Amino acid sequence: MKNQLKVLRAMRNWSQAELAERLDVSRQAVNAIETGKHDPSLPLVFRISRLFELPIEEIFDDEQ
Amino acid sequence: MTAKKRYQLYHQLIAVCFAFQFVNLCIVFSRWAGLHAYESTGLWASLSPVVFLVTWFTLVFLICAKFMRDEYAETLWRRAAAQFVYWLVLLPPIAMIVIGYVGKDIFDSLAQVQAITPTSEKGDADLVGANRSQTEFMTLAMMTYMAAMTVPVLFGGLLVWQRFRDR
Repeated sequence: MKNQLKVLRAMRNWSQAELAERLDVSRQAVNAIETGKHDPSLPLVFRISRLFELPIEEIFDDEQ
Repeated sequence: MTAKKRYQLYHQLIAVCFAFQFVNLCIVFSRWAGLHAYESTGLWASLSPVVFLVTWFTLVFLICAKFMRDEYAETLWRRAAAQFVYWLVLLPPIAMIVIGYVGKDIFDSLAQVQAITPTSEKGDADLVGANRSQTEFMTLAMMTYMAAMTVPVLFGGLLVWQRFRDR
């Protein structure tokens, strides 16, 4: 699933490790989500949405 | 230890433990094949059993410890488990074919010994039976030991492979 995580993270000048810490996951998990290798669970999607204060649709794109 | 630290450590510990256990397995197999002599002296000889035992326990613990995994590690674990099932089904028949092919001479000589022993040592049938039970028990113990050694390494290897594929 495509997403804007990398862009949003760069806009805030956060490293993958910093974002991982804020989301309570490992850095590897953030990397896997950013590269589209891992589709996050619904609870994590909500955490991401809350963290960036953006609706889910603006962060994730379910169209392949 | 916080959840983040645990999740972070998980991938690194799995990789380190797998590496040590893989080396250990290679040493064990090379000794069996006669490629590598057993060393009983030196620092490495005294340290290696401890290192291998600790990494074995850690690997087994990490495979079982769900609380050490975040959702991504859990996904990798599930993928590795799915692949592991294929290996579990395919590996024993492959091993049997290899053992049957490599150990054909050993099996033949064993069959000869078993064919000769009961008739040549008449009256010792109980002893022969006891020896056979002992041998069967030792074989079972050895197979269990090998399974205990190889199964965590195989699963750990699949986990590392899944992680490597995602890079």
